[in-house]
Amino acid sequence: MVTVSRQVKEVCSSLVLSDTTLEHVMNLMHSEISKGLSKETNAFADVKCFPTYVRNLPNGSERGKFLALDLGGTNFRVLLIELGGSQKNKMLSKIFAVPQSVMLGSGNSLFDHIADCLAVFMKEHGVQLERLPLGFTFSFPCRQEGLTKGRLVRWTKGFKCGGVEGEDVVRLLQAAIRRRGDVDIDVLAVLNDTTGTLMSCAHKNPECRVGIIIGTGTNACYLEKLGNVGLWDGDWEEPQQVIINTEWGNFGRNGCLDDILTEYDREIDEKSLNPGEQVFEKMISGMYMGELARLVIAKLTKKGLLFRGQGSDILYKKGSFYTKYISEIESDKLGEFYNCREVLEELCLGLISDQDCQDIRYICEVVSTRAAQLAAAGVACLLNKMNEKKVVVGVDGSVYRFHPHFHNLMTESIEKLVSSDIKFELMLSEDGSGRGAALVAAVASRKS
Amino acid sequence: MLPADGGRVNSMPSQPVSAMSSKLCRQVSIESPGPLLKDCVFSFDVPVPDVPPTGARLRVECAGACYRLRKEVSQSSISSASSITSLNSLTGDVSTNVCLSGQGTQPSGGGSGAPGQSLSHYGVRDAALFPGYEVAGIVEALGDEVPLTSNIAVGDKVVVYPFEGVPHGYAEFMTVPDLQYLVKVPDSMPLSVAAMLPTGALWAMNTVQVAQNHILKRLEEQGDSGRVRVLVVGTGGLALWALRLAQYYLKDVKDKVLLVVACLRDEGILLAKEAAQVDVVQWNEDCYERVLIERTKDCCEGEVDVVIDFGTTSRSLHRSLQCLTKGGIVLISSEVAERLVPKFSKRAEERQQTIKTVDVGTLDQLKKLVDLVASGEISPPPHTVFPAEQAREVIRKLCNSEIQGRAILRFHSID
Repeated sequence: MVTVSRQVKEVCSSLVLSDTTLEHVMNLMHSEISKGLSKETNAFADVKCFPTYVRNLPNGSERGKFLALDLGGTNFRVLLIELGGSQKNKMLSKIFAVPQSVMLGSGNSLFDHIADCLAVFMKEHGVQLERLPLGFTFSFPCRQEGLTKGRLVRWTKGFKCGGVEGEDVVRLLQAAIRRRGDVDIDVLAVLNDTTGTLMSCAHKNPECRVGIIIGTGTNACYLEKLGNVGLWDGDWEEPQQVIINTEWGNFGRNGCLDDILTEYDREIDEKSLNPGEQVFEKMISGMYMGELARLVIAKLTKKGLLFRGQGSDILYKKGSFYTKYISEIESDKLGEFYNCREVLEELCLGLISDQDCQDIRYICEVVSTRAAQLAAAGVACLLNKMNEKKVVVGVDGSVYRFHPHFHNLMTESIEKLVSSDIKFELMLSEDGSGRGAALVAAVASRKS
Repeated sequence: MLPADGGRVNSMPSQPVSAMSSKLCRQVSIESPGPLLKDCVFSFDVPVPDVPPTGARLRVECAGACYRLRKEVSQSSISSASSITSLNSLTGDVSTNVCLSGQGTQPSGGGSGAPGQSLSHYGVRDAALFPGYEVAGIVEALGDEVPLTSNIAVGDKVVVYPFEGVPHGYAEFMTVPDLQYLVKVPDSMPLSVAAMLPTGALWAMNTVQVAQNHILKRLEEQGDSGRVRVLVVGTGGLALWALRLAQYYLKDVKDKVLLVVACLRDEGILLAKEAAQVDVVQWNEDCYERVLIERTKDCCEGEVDVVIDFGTTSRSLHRSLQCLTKGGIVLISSEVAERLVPKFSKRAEERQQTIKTVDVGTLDQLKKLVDLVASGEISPPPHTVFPAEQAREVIRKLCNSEIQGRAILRFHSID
């Protein structure tokens, strides 16, 4: 069997993290989270730990018809969910395209587009004359001032619409709907996709206390005791807990992770829409993972160590090595290279030897393993901090879902880092953004 | 070279026949794009061809930007290029080596020389650039043995049916061995529009007609329940023709057919929407396959019955098959069939799906097409005309999906 070439291993060595390094990252994350939670240091903290104002996990009594909007992930979706009811948790949904021009256009055009899709959906399902409650999953860093008010802190993941940063996105949505005049809704909650994931998972499994996303971006939320939340300005009624949206994607902005950043990370950062920001995210999530692999492959090709030095226009083009290629290549049976060759052919590469394929696979493994391990370090940090003896972690996101080994890599890594007396389980949370949003809206309406 | 007798000619005012035959003209040949885009467009001077006795010579005005089917390459035709007296490249930077040895200088086992290479450029996947031969021009000379009663006359605007044995590139003058390969085009039709018909539109028409048979059969089987769902992949020129032709041929059953276009690029969304009554699903290549399949099923209200996929990648066909219902049919181009069908025939069989290959189309279909476009019943997709000198740049842009709709190369301007 062909083994990975020594020179390729050398070039990739900076991407391989030791157990000690991962433990160090976990500890760094802990101190950054503490900075986020503490009143005195929150203003300068990178990991903001925003309170979500969601105090209750679902208890199964949630009932009603809810609309949900899900923006920020792979798909933009509008959903109509019936909780409880005869058809247990019936869910109707439609995916709408978001053209690049809208992702990068004005805030008004974005919210007009959202409102337009909402109206189309409502008419299609005959609810355009009803004023239904709505949960808005808006998966970007937001500072919430209540359950129905959240100000966008900054755009991430390829979005960059003017006039939205600093604004309350619920207000912008309502303004767009009013501009149309043909439909109306009652926004009961604005939430993050991690919150939706946690709520949706908790609905099925009451031991769920953490929600994480490993998809286009990465983030985590968890259930924290009110006493630990320095910025808490709400009531102290029972339960004295609140879901905290860590926004851990921005971990490392202050340079604390610079020791583990490679030249490839730096290049990705320099050429990104948001240089200097979301450092942790850029080492883990789907938006960047493929590009990381491409930079390594391109470097090795130019050095003559892959494909006999013969690259292609596509290989040298930024963004051409899709993250899904990594999942596809790592899905090949060991020693076989069917998917690998298909991918390389798509990149118009001609001279592909088995050695090349083995090396390419290794590069993909190194990149995805690092991502899984870093995410695991984050999870372990939260689990150790919460110190509950049994915790279920709800997970969603295209990278986690579709990579053949990600779940196992994460589980393995978390086990090494977490206290021996903590039992945990990673559970895929289905439809978090849809069902989760409805659940948050339902829980919110229950209180009022 | 002694001037041959060029037959009956009412030649262009300043060019006596004898002068024509000893002249050189520019030929642009566009090969299928390989790993390095710059290597697939060649141009050099060729002699103005003699008029075949039963055929004609035309002045090529416009040519649709297509690449030459690899299948037609023969060693003798490549080596004959080496006898050309002057090998000037249009931009002056193609080394004579490349022209002379044809495909041999490409890396062996890969690139544009390899049989069954992937052609994965975005523009090719999007059906913006496809194989074919599209010429529209003016008859400049008729062969000696052409009867006086022939309905083709010198000065007529014509398009050329892509017959077996078309030249290896587009030159300012070309000949057809027989008049049957010429289809007259009304004066009112610009040659830039006519140039889109002999492959792109023709192929699309043939594909849609094959699809139509299947669709009508499904409608009969289904009765009143639900609609027949048709997915067209891509928003390049070829796919845009397919969309227009589908809307034309299915207009009687349009309420019972759901037509969806899979857009490979953003601008495609706007483009497809302008053709109205069409739903659009975004096939961002950076999304996972399962996500794209889910999106497609979401947009199409379930699995689709017919897929028209001019894309040339395994990925595209695999994705189409996964969106397809049991018993459904995928229509693909004959050029890729040899390479792709073996990969998927077993899977298709298991689900009783058919992968059907479609050839370019017949002469009769081309005549019908000219009538449909001339009468306005079918409107041509957006198209841009470029001077033939810019062929290399045009091909590069098409490969990168930077041109909306079709690209036409112009050799002279007469319209």
